[in-house]
Amino acid sequence: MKAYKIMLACAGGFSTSMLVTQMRKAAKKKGIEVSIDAVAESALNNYNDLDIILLGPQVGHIKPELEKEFNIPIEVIDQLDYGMMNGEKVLNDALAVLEKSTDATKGASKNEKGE
Amino acid sequence: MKKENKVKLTKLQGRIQNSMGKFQRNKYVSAIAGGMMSILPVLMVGSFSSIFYSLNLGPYQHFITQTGIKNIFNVITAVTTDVLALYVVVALANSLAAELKTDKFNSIISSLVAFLMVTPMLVKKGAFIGLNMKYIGSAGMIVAMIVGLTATRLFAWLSGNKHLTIKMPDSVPEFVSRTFASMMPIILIAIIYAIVNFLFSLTPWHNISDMIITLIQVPLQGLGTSLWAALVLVFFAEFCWFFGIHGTMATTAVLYTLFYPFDVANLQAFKAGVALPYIVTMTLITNQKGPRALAYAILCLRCKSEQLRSLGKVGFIPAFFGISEPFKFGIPMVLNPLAFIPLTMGGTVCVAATYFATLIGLIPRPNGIPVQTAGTPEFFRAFLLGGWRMVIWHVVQLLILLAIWYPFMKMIDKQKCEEELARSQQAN
Repeated sequence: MKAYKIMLACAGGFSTSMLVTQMRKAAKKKGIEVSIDAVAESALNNYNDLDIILLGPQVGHIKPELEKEFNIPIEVIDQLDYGMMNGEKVLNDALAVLEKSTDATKGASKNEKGE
Repeated sequence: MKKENKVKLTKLQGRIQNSMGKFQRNKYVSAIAGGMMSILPVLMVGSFSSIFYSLNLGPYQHFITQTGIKNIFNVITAVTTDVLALYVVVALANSLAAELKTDKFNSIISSLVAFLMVTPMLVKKGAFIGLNMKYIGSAGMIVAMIVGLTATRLFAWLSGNKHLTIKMPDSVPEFVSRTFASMMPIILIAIIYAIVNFLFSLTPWHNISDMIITLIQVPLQGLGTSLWAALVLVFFAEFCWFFGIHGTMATTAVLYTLFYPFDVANLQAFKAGVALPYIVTMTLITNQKGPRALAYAILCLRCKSEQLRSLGKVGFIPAFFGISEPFKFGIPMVLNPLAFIPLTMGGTVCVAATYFATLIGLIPRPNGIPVQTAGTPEFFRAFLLGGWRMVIWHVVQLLILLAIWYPFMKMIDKQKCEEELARSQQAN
């Protein structure tokens, strides 16, 4: 199985990068191989090999616009999980979405779990 | 809160989120924000070399003059801050080309040609002797943005037109055929901007740069106008936060367009050793909203509620680096009626207070260093903005914020304690 590429995005990539640290810890504990990074949302255009984009809730409002540009699942991180920097929960949620989208036939993988 | 009110608020949030999302991901708005952020290293190098050039610290000036280091700082500023408009053209052309998915290099070339076409040159005895530094520095920034965006848009449009591209036989290497394909669009863009420049020479302002300066920058730098514009922007940014939108980022493009040129002008004045012309600049608006995250952390740590106290612990260190998201979403402040007044007023009051403190000379005017609010440790950030007096000022701001938030935080704490009590009783 290939390692998933998870990209978190917020305004400057600062607060999401704190969450990335927590998520990497959680991934290590679970013993799964996955690449997790964070960038500023304005830099997202530079990436085309991502499997999922997780948006900080403060930039959740750009989700509909991003969905026009990217053909991968885009999720807004839960407010409280984000506030409490709950890396494990965010990682599990992301993995659940990823598994569902790879099970579903490609192209029809629009996520219906809009927050 | 009543249930129907909550539903109304959520509906309103949806609508605001929708329109802000459209605004922010608008290709041009996003190109300005992304483009300006991409040349941040140039802005930083330029501002620090200006500061080191004119820093007046005992024997320091004597030392750098003797060793010739001063001249190095002078050159660094001359090729960064003093010609900033050139970088702006390139950066915006590049980022808009990425948005429009057109050829980046040729977009940059088109924009550079177009910008130089409309920029007044120095003339001596009928011969051009160079670019006029006035129009490629801070005063040229808005023109640079306009031209960078329009020329790139034109290039994307013209190069997409099949009649305008010169087709080469298949045997010609791709690089060569690409050069020919971009030939017609670039020639047309050069002609279009030459005509634009000619038309502007007939106006009372003689060129587009002076028109922008007279019509936009001069009215905006009027003290009353600039203060109100700044306070509205700050209020708006925090108002967005109430609906869970990163307000500062949503206003980035506006701030860079309207208020960043004043920072650059201050920086140039600082280097020249003359009085700084402006109080309300972009760095004042983004950096003087007070150490809010730190205030939230301190208040949370003193709360009785378990949740708020643990949030204070999680968020304290990030707060020290100016990151407030844990509190905004953890308390939460988003859609929390109790947080509305202190959230929107805290930053606004701090900026207004900073304005008056600067006006009466308690603290120095903005030096123009584009200090980033997120990631720079509090108080060190203040030091960069204006030395030890600014550090003291940020402590004052912290006290102002604590005073504004205290009564509201008490109410939030009480609410949380009741919730927690109810939950533990249920569990029993």
